[in-house]
Amino acid sequence: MNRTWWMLVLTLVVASLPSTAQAQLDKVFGGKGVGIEGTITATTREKITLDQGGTPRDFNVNEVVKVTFGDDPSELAKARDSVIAGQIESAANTLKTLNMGAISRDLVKQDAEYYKAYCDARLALAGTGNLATAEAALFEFVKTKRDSYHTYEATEVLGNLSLAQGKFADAEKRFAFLGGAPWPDYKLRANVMEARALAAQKKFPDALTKYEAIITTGESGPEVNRQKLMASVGKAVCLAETGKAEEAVQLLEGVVRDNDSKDAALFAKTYNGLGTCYLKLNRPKDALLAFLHVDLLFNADGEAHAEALYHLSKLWGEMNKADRALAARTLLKDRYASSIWSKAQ
Amino acid sequence: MMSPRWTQLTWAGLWTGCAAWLVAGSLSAEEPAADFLNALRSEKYFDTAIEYLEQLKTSPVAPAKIREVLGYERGVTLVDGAKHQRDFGLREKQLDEAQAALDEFVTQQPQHALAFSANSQLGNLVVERARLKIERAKRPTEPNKDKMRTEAKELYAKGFAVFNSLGEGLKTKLDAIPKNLDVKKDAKQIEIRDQMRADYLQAQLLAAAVLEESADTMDKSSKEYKDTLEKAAKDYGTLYEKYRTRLAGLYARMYQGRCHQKTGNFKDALSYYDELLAQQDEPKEFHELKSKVLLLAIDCWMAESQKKYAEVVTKGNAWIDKAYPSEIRSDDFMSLRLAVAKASKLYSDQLKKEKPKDPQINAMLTDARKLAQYVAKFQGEHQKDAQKFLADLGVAGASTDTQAQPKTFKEAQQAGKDALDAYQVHKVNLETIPGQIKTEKDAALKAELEKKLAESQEAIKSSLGEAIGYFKLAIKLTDGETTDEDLNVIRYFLCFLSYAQNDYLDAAVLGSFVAERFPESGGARQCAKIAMASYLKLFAEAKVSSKQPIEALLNELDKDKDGRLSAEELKAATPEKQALLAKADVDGSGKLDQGELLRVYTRFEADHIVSIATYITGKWPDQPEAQEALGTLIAFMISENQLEKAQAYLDKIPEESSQRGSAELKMGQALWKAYLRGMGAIREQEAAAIATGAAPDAQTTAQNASRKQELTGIKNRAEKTLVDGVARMEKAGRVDAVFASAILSLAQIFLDTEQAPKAVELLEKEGVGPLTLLKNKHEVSETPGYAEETLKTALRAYISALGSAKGETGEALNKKAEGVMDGLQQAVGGTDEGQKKLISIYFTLAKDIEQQMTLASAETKKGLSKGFETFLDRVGAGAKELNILYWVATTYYGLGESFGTQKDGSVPADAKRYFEKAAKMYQTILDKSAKKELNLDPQLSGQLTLAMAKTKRAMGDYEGAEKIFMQMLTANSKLLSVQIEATKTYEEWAERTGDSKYYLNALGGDMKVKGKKSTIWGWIEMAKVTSNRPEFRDSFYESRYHVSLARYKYGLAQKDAAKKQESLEKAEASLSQTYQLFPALDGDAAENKKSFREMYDGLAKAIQKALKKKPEGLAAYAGMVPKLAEPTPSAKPGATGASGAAKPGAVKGAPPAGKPAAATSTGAPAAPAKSPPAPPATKTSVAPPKK
Repeated sequence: MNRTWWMLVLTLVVASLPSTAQAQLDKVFGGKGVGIEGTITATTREKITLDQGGTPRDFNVNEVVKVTFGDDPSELAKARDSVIAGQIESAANTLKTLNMGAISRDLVKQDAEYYKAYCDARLALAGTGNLATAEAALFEFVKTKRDSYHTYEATEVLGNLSLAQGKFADAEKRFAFLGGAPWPDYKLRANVMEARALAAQKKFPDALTKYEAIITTGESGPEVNRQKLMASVGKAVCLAETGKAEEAVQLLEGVVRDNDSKDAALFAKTYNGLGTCYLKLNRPKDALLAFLHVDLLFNADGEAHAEALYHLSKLWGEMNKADRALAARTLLKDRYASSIWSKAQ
Repeated sequence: MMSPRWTQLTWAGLWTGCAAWLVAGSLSAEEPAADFLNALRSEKYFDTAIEYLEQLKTSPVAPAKIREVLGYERGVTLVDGAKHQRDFGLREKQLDEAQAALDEFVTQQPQHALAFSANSQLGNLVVERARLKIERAKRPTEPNKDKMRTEAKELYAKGFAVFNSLGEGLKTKLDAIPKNLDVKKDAKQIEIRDQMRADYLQAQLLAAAVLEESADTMDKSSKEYKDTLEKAAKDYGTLYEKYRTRLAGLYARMYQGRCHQKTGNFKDALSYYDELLAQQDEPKEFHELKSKVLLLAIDCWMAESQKKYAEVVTKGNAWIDKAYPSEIRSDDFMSLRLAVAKASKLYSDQLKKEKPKDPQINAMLTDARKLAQYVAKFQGEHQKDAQKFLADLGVAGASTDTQAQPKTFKEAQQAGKDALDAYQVHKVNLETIPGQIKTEKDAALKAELEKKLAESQEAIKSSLGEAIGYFKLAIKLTDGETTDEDLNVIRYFLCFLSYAQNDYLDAAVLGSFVAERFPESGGARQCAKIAMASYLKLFAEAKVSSKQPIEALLNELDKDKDGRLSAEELKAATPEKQALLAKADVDGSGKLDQGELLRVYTRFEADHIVSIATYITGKWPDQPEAQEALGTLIAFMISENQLEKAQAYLDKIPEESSQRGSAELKMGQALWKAYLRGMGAIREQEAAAIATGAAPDAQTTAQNASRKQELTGIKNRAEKTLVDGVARMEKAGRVDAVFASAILSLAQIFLDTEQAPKAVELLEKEGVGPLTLLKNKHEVSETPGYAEETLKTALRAYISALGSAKGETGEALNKKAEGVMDGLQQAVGGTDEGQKKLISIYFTLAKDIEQQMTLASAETKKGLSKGFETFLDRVGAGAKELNILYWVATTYYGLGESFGTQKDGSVPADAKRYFEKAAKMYQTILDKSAKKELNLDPQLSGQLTLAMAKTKRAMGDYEGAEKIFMQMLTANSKLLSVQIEATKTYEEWAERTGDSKYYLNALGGDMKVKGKKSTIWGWIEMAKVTSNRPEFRDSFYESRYHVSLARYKYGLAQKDAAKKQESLEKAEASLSQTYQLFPALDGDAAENKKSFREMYDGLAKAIQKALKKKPEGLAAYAGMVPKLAEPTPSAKPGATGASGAAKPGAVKGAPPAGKPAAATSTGAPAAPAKSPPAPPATKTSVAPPKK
């Protein structure tokens, strides 16, 4: 009796504990935020294979929002969530505390390496860190981990790093590689990047043509539509640069009016675009208000924020607000010391 | 007075934003307007928020929801912004704008969900206005402290009424809501009801808080103060009773206690505080409340009537131990520690008296020291108090050395403020104590005051220096926590102190920097004002200091000594000087005159005055400083003779501005002077044309007609501007020196524009008329010279009005005029010196009358002269005083002169009559002097003799005139003024009688004794004598002109063609020679340098016509003008041997034999007087020539 009772208690206790197997399961999260459990057995730059009780299931990388590993160190898990929330600096700081030597599983180690390189690259792009060093580290990852499911994402960041350093040929090559992905949204994203590279080289008519092509593509879907919006913003900037700032303002106002401002990256770019247009139209007060939107509301995107701060430091000065100009300049120098906008000061 | 902490306790707790929609509307698919607006406000970018709201009005992406409430948002933004605006004027303006916006919102959308919030903001706005007044009343420099407090009180009453009314309105609405609502069915209504309940509670709390705060405006010992606080306590009590279960109810209880505490009712106050302190410590909100309550309770226990130090020590220490980590260094806890420290010290003192051996004594002192040392360690509002307390405790090395050099920005800032306070105190002492000493009768007190005054006199300099030193140190010690506003306050103080120390450049630079870089900062407008005042001071200094370098420059480079620098002359200058003078030729004349040189040396200051004043007017267009700046610009432009610019600035001053009137008065006076100057120039030109006998050409006639028309416009503008200004100033009810002077000017203008009755009316005007001011002994009438000028103008006005007056009015005017003369006698003429002054006054009066007559139309002239004559006859008949007789004679002469000559050169009958009367009166004076009935000093005697001679000349009695001149010049041949008049007599003699031989006398003098030098020199000798003497420059050019004129006229009078030709050619030769040697006949455009160009040009044309040459004027001789690059020693006035016109001999530094004398003690007239003779000791005296 006593034994039976003890066995029962023991069974209940054991049952109430998470089983070892459950604790070690990997998860693949799709767009709906639901994690599908299993064990990741293989990855390529296009697919993630999850073993679910002996049945392998493939996931297209473009549909995956997040991957967690059953044996994720807590620091990695936390950093990954921070990256997804756009808190790159926080993620980088967390990863600094991660003991890589304690990670035994290759996939997990690879993931940690990627996020380290990725965070450094993003921070460098935002003006905190060295672009070349960050580029080298990320490139090393891509070169050595050819089957990583992060390859396309890493390549996009590498393209941006090239772009930031004025290495347009490298950037184009990398964006072309991204465009080689088998999914329309990736292709469009690559096109947007390529157009941006053209614009960065002041090849505005070429960039305009590229943006037009993106906007008029027959594809659809949430990410495709977002890329179309990004293209619209890019197009507007090109219009402004080619003497059609009024038209550009209308286009950007449409983006503001018809979209959810929760998309901070889109809105940051849009308001910076508006600011640029107003500068072209010699409407400094309107420009100031546009850039202030980015500074005060949509400042998570470091690159965009640095751009806004650069313009604000000038515009506040023009408005005889030396203290505010100084504050903007100081923030730009402190937070985005190595950004092109900080250097342009 | 309610402390800031108390104020904060109330308002910070009560005021909550009511923009619920903002949250609901955030981050939707549209412009995130609400979030952006909130972000702007939280960053304190209130100005930008206002601009954003403006943009939203027309923005295609503005959400519809926000469009509905733009007015409300504007109001809220302005009220919030006003709280952070340190400049009182701007704060008030912002509150005005906020009120307008909120009023409009409430009126247009009374049912809107934000209507209550808008109404609350309106009440809040009224309270803000009251606080503004209280803040102003606290300023040491505020002159209307009582008025400010009274106005604040009224505003608090208004605020109270607003919140009361809001509460009542909400109660009515709440009462109308059914008591039993169904949670599910009536969810919406329940939500509304709950919101209304919260609003209702808020309105009631705010009403009580306003009432409590209103007591700050009252005398603490008054019944009103006590009643007000008791009423507030009662209202808080009611709220507590109703809401005792809510935190708001407990706060109401605390405020209730506070009201009792303020009235000294510690018993009730402490009973409420004890009740609250017995509440639980958690949650955090309760903890915070209890901290505040304990601080209030400690204030009670520490009161003189309570002295419950042990209570403070026990309860205070216990609570300090309970501080949350986040509270340890909070303001409340720092305050608490210091209070407990002080209580510990007092408790130990208490124990020492009662139980000297109590071991607690030392323990208390140790605690006190530890607590105070902790507080003293950290920057904050209690740090200084703590340091002082430690010093009192005698704690060594506890930062108590007040003389220690500050080590942080805050320390230096505080030290500077202390020194500034000390400076202000000494300043006030220096201003007020002398008056107190005068009236103090008690010798001991008087001695004490004198000692205090001496101390302040000594200490003011050191405190000024200390304050400057500390503030400069603060700037050096700027750290990461130093805000722009902190720095700007320091800069403002430094700006002010630099000005006080006469360091105008420092003050100007600092002031401009703050004003232009940080225009929104608290002291920006004051900085701008100080900067402007500093530049004005610097400008005045630069004007003085530039004299020496300008003189040096002219000495070095002005080879032809014409007082100007030509391009050729400038080539000899160093490259630095050339660069300095590169763009100085503003009028493009090719020569730099002294005015242009002065501008070079004052360019920096002048440019900055215009720049800062323009900045002020643009930056704060509707603030008083802008109008002051415009006033400065107007005055500056007037002084620079840029009247159109001055007018443009005047037009910018709003009509309702208090500055408008005084600016109009200045402008009007400047215009009037411009008119007189312009008319004077035309008259001189016309006189010169008449002298040559040649009619002016068509172009000159047209130019003069156009100029006269232009001047008439200026005259009309002057009159209108002054009339407007006077009306405005009168309406404002402020009679100051500017106003008093301007109203007098206007009366003078009325006189000179044939409106004597208007002048009389204005002079006598009740309250503001100059005569009335004099009669009422208004302080402005004590301005030196004001009484004399007023009486002089009044006398002229009364006798001018006589011409058109009839019967009794005429008699009344006569009597008034006589009354004025009596007044003048009393005001000035009591002593010998006074008598001399009276003569001078009457002489200038005669000149004024002459000017008035000259300006008058022919018809008016007749009426005026009739009036003057009547009065002069009347006064002259009975007068015995020299000044009256002299005035009567001089005025008769002036009246005669004002009629001029007829076309044929004869004297009009009226003029002749006046000259006869003048001669008779002069003779009477001389006779009386001979009989010793009048006492004439030799100088005045000389003046009268000259006047007599001129009068005889004017009457056509040339022989009589010559006789007098000969007598005078025989006695002293060097009297230049007499020589000139005597020589002119020959010219006139020839002209009027047609006997051309007198032209030869005019040229060569009297020639009475052959082979001997003439007593009356003639023009040729006169030119020689005055050559090479800058001080007689005008006389030289005049003499040279008359040499040619006399030759020309002599030639014209000859029937023999050869003689005629010869004389005309001589005339042309002498004129062209003068021009060739001295082509700069323009003077230097300076006020005191006359231009002779037009005179010479007109004569040249007349001679050319007579010689049948093309009448090109001076232009015909331009090619003969020698290059001035290599000036010869002979290229100096008079120093030429050509034509015998001005012979060598007059070499620089060696005065000619016939050197004109400056008559001072010689008993002769002092100056080359223009008709009529100058009174003694006037500005026309010639200074002794330099040796």
